[in-house]
Amino acid sequence: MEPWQRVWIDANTYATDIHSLINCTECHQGQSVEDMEVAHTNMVASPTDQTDVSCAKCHPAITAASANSLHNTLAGYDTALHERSIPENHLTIENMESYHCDSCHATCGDCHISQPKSVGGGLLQGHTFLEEPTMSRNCTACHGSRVKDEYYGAHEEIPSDVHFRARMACNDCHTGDEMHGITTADAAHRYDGAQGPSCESCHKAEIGAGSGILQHEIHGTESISCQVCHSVTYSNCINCHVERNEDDIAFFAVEQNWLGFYIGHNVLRDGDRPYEYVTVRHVPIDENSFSFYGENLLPNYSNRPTWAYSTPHNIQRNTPQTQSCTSCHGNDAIFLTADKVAPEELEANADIIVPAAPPLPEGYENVITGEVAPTEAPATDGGDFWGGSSDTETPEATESTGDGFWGDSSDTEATPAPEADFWGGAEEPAATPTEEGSFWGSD
Amino acid sequence: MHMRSVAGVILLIGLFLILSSVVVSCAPDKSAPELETSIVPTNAAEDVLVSGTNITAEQMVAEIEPFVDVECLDCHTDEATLRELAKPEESTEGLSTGPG
Repeated sequence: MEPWQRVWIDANTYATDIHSLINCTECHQGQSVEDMEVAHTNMVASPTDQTDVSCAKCHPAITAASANSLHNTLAGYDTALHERSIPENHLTIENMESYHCDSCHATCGDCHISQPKSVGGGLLQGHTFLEEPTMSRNCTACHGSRVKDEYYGAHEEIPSDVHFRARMACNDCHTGDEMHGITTADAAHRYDGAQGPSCESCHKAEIGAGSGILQHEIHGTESISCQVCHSVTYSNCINCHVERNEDDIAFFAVEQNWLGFYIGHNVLRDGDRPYEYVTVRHVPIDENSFSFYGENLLPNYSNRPTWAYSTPHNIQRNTPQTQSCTSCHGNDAIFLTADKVAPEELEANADIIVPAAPPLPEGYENVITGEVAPTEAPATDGGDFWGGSSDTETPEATESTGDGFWGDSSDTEATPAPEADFWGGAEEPAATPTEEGSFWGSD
Repeated sequence: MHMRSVAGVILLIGLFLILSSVVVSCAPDKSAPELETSIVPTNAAEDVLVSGTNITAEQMVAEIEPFVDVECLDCHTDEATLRELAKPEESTEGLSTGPG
């Protein structure tokens, strides 16, 4: 987006917006005069940074709830970092967050009026207020390296999410209630509280006993999360470090990342997430991630797993796991066994590590579904098929070599045709995240 | 001779159809599942009433002061002016490495 476009008001579309009835200075301050310098004096470029003096006037319920949403509080960061730290270090950590984490803070305007500041900002549609944020220019502008790449199918040979192929945008599942914190009030992290959205919201009849689907009948609803069978290899990061240069520009370095698929024990097991086994991914942290800001800021590093409960956004109906019972049962390659965890992180992940893949229970015969016709059998020795490796203590960056498993990798269905509603404005260039526009999420 | 040619063509077409059906049946299923459309995620209750009142946001806006900030709009809707006044972007070299 060119600089002038960022502040250009489209007179034609904005005139149809009820907000155009409000005087500019009501929200932006400044003065409505011809002299630009005078007009911009004391102007507030992003008035929704202070929702209580702008949006709240007409949208009190939503803004009140949003104040406690994770998008506003970024509580996930504090939850993860404070647990690994001590109170004496919190102030230093908050200082670090102000440079590296707080750019993910999303205001009302970051979703409904502009692109997020973390990707350069700029009005979405000539200052027209969008009731529903756009997928590419809002949601995945921040939630990029994991959610976007997995959902869109950006990783080579890994197809896009089945919901993406069904032309579903983020807000088809992630409702306004969730985004505004109405159903997730005071959440300490993204997996705190009831699942929202959950697979059951749309697939209730296909899950658990009575579904008529053999694998679902057998596994029920509490042994494994849906992703254990229906997601495929996803991003894992390690050793992220943050710094600032001599010009005070913040930056990060992720020293290692790879694609892999791992099933671990569920340490968040409760009524909302009753599963024994879930997909887990390594989060981008190590003991010295913030050493630029101080020594030993995470003295309790092992208090929290570095392999975190995860819900990869690359759901498929048929996956390597769904081929047969023994794709998972007895197959250590896809479970987070101790040999896949770095020695210094064994303590932190003790409750997640699976000693060995559960064997096929007695009385059960291996069922081969025949729903997928692989040209290459799943690895049984931690090979590349799963994108992981069981013969190294720290997995190296690998890519699936399951050539042909997904069939034609140039699947045209995986890329929906441009459509303004779906992409949120096909005419506009998609936001390109800057170095500060990263989605680290919160583990 | 002509009959043999026709028979040959029919045989080829038949083989092609059989081969095609085999290929199609072996292809991985990448289709989207049928959704249970009767269950649809819903948004929050409409947030239309202004807090502490019985009037809607739309009614309130209609009651506010008439729009007078024409100078702001005059400039910000004028593409040529904005192009002229826009400061060139400073290209900042990306310092970060690895996926964000």
